[in-house]
Amino acid sequence: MLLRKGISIYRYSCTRGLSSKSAILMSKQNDILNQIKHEVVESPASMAKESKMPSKPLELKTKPRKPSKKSAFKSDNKIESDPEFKMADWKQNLGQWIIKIFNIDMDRSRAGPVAGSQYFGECKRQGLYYPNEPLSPTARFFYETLKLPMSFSQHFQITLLHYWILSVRMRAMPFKYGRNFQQKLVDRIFRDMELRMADELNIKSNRIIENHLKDFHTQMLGAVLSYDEGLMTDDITLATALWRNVFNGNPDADMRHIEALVGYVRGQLYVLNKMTDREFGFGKFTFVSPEEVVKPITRKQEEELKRRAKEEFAKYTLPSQKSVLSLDE
Amino acid sequence: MSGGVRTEIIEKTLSLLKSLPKERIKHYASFKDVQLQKYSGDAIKNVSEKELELQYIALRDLVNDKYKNYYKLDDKLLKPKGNPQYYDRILSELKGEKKETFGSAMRTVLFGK
Repeated sequence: MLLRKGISIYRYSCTRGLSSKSAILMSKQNDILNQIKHEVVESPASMAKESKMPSKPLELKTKPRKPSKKSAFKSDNKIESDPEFKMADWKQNLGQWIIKIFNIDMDRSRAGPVAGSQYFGECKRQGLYYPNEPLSPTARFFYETLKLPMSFSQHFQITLLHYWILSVRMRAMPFKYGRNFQQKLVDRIFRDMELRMADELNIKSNRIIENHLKDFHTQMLGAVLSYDEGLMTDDITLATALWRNVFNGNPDADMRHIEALVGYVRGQLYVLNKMTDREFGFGKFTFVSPEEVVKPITRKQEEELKRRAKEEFAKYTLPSQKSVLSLDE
Repeated sequence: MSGGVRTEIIEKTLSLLKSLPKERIKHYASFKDVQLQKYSGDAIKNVSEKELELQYIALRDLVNDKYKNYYKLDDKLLKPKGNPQYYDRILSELKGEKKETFGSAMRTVLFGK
């Protein structure tokens, strides 16, 4: 068992509990299956990998353009590109003094570095690929296990899905902060796409880039609406939304792959649901790998997590670490 | 492998697909129609009986809201305190209840909720 971001996540490598021998008659088998309590004991990745359904990858009208070079993951700025970067002490002290004197609302200011940088990086990382470079576990899940095409627009759909997952949590923050977080995140995603289309895909015409961005924006509005509908209604509605957007409406899409993705999305939302506003607002969330299983926690475990969070945040006493975000919900 | 069991699995899958609710808005592709076409035609003739069965179970798990029930969300996310009416308004619009007025739309554009 791993204790990751306060939520118990169990790794399982066993085969799917519901898979059964074909020798059992369907009618009898259904009686047995109906008695089994729905337990998720497999990670989305292993569930999808088990499927032997022959499926053709989607035929694309045009061959996807491969990135000709690799630009900086976030930016060239040392604050974002150098994990060891530390601001000079006098600059830090001056900053703390300014925050204190002018009573700056740090929850609002934090939207830039947290949503516009850290959560943006989280969304971008999930489906990022470069030719001849190893894929991250999540990218492997999307491109190799779910057999999605490696293209810029597919990467956008994966980024968009993760943006939506985060935006569900951002909506639950106090309105003025949540809205600001969403705005910063979406602005950064589109700015990054604009830069990458020019730098990595070598699209020279600004008009073409702008048209692509408008298309992506339209796709985003449609996808967010469909995912919201799926979140509030049922799994099959969420599954059809994922099939249309992530699986590009592929008629050959594997039902077990779609199911695995629904489990992946619901698992992420569950982790976010158990995270307090303060932890989320300070950028403590990272997406759970599709190779891990999210197990629901008990009320007692939840209380324990909140207690630990309160202990941790009690140590945050600098003016820049001030926050009005809740530690109870 | 008997042909009878295979036919039974396909029939069960088809009847489950037919029971899926109609989509509230028209999309570029309908999951229900595409899958009905797939399971009614030759596209699955080379698929093993066991795999068809697992596909059926996956579909049935989705229809039975396995993940929605397993990963239960609180009102914290479903009635977001920043904008408690957000999902209700979307769903009422999708259901065609036409509660939105020009005034409420303008208020959303100007104030975000």
